[in-house]
Amino acid sequence: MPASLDLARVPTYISPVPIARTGRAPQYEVAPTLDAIEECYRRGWTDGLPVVPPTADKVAGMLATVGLAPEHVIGEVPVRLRVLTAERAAANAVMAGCLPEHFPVVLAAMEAFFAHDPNILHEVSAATNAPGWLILVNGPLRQRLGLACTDNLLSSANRANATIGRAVRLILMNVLESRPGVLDRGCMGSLSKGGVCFGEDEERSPWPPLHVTRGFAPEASTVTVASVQDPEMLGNRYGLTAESLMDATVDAMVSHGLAVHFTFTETQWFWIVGHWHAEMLARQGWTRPRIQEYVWERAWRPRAELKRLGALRGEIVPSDETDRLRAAPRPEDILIVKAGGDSGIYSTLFKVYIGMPATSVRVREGEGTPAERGEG
Amino acid sequence: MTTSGTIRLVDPTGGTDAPRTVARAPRLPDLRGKRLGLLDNSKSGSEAILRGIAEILDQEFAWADVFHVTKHSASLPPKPEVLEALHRHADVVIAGVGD
Repeated sequence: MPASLDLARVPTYISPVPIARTGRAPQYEVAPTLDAIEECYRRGWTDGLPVVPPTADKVAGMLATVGLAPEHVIGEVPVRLRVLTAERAAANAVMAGCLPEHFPVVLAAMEAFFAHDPNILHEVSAATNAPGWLILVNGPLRQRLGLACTDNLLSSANRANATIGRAVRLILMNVLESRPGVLDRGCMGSLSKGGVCFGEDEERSPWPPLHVTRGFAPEASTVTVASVQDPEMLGNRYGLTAESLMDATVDAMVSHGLAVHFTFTETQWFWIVGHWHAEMLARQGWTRPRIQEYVWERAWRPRAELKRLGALRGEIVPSDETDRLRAAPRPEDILIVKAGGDSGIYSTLFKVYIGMPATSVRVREGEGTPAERGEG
Repeated sequence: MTTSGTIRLVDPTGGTDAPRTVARAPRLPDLRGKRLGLLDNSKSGSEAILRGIAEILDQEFAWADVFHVTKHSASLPPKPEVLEALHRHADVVIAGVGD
């Protein structure tokens, strides 16, 4: 044993992560506006871009929209020793630039994470392969919020899309300490980590809206949340058959799958089918279940290939040449959403990173908790 | 805006400013002849790394036993039964990330 190693010594450990704060949030008086923005930077509250200073009145306005008390607990993340209260969620939503009417969607997105597994917020925001999160909105709320569902829907341009996704990012950074180098151990990072929020183009879709396929009424407004890797654009512009388009998607899937090899039972995909791709599929009689079945059946690679390409560990054995690894465990794990503009012939493919599978919850608008509604 | 010309900001963070001090578990005065636990994080290289470390250390400490147990997820805490098994079968534990 090295002489310098004193095993009986029990030093205390100073964690870079401070202890959890509960109850009401502290408040600080600072000089107005531009100075306040700089103060937010100084305190490390931003994601790099300026934030709207979370003033007490703006935070109160956010809370009033959802009818929640400041101390109301949205959820706890045991592994992080952190509690998300309505007030802290609201403060981050204000900073992200949300309007009060956006706040129910932010809360619903957080509820989806907590509903799946509270500790999943740690997994998806600490992982070295740095997934982001997709927040899909369905139902009439999309129109009321002016959420982009068509042209350029994945670009930063529209307030509802940009700020709802950013609010989740800020909550994870500020409340859960998911900061690079602290508890976010992302290696390359990802653009999706800023939060990808958009709506389905239900009005021009040939298929039922996604939330209806997941058991919700058409008039319900829902969010579907999943941890995702950065997307890939699918540019089948000259194919004249549905099969050509679906084969191109299969091709992208089996290649994109290399980023995280697809041997995990929970792997899913979001195929955001663009306008003209959806039009061709529907015109040639392809329903969502048939598309899912066609793609699922063909999206596989031999285990040997994944070993050759370094996506899987181990020596290649003869059975690896015929052992098929599927990109998705079941056809329904290829989620099909119709969205995007009609200016070009494109789709986009998201791979759901193992962690947070697609989880849908209803958006609760101004309802508060049962206790706060006087329902005990 | 307050009467003093300042504005009041609500703290959006979830942690206090105070450093968090964590008490470590008591250390054994001597590791020789103890039972070693290996907490595998379930990543594909974890077992190889942990068993390699155990073998190297065995030359110095002559473990009475090496008990290996695997977590259900690399990034989530061990389930209570895994911790219980470690308490039952090991005096010291090596944990770490192996990918």
